[in-house]
Amino acid sequence: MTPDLHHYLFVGAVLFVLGLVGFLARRNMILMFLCAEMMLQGVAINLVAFARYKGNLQGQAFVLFLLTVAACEAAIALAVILMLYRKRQTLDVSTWQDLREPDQEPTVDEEPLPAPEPQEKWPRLTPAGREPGHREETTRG
Amino acid sequence: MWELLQQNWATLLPLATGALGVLALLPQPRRLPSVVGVGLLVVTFVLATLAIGSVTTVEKGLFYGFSFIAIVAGVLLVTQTQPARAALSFTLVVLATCGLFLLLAAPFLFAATIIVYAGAIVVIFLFVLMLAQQTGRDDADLRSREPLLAVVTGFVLLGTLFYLIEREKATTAETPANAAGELRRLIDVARRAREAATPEQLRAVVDSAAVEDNRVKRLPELFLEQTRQLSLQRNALEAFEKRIEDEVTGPWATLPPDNGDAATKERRAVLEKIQVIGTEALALEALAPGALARSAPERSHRPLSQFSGPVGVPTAGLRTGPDGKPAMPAENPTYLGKSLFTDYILPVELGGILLLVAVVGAIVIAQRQDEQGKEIE
Repeated sequence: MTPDLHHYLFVGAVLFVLGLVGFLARRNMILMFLCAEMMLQGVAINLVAFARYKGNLQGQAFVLFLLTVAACEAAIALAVILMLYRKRQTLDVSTWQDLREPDQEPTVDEEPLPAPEPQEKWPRLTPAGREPGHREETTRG
Repeated sequence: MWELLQQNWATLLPLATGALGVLALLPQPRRLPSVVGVGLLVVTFVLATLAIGSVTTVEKGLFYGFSFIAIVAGVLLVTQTQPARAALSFTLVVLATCGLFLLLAAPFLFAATIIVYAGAIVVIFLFVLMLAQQTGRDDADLRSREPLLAVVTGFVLLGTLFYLIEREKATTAETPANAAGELRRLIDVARRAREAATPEQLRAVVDSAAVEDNRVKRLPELFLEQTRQLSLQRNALEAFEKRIEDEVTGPWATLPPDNGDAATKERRAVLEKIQVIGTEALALEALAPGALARSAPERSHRPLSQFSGPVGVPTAGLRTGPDGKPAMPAENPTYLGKSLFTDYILPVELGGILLLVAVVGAIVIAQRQDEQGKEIE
């Protein structure tokens, strides 16, 4: 009584779809990229499960190449994200929406964000004693 | 439509609650309290547990444990408003996936994935987050782009995938070898159902054949499935499929749901025709068993070289060691290495070149440049 092939396929499908939803919905570039990596994880589960249940190693070899490509992708994508961040000082992809197709409407955030919670006031202790002098100490004689 | 919902509610209900839960948890300016989303997801998992049934072996327990961790961490990754926490959730997804790899007898991939993903990539992510987010939380993390549409897209896709996997499971459970036997049995059931004079007798046939009630209703579809599984010549197969489909979409579809007397008579006529078609298919299969097979599964399962490991014949199961037991996964790195350097030597070289190009490209892209495109020291 071991889990069947389709059990693994279900898990792979769930991970893939969660990554898809995150990629479509989230706006932080790094989060979108993490979601894409999660989609790759779902695919990797599928491939390894097929390798196991077909009794050969082709799926596992494929996953090794998938790892290689994912590493390359991470290097390039993070370099691109850093460059984009330097230009606009934010990780929000919506700031780059002027790259959209000419007939598309721009996305405008109409709803204001809720006001940030006010900082809690912590009690303060009155300083007691005398502050020691800040004399430069050098190790050289 | 209603029938579809009734048949698949055990899959559709968790899907719907899961979609609503993810939707409620996605960051939005006016978000429901997170208790709602978490509650919906808990309901989803409870429903899924009901569908799973009892866990009888350690392997199953480990499988469900790792899958649960992976899915929960995946939901966390998608819904976190703090990117650093999301990166850590991703680590958890990767670790749980590695557990699944180990269960799938892939210890080398288990180690490699932990080193590459959980070790290297997540650390790089955290570095980038530290570099890029020194000013605190970004507005982008508190808003989602079209959360409803994204969730609908994703979960419709998930439902489709589930449906396809379920269907494949149903059709591949029986190998082509016993498709003929199953067809023979169906012919027998059809014959006796046709001979039944009254609805009561029909019910008795269903009971004695030990098939569920809806199997007699689905009898033509079953015939179709079994004929498809016989390795018939393509022309003959298409002819059979067309004839059965004609019967099914014609008189069978217009039958009243009630097992009244008139309906039983019409049903009998259709069953007789389908039975004849099934018998012909069997006869053709017996004349030339698998001579012109539609698919050759043995060929597609064959390893590329002998180093890929002795292949499991579909009927014999997985590859076995000299003692006849399934081969230990400890052989896995050996076989994988040999396979990589014999079957996949060219792809390995190309992968190396790809890595080199990616490193050079990343350095070039990340260089600071001023307005004129000159490098900044």
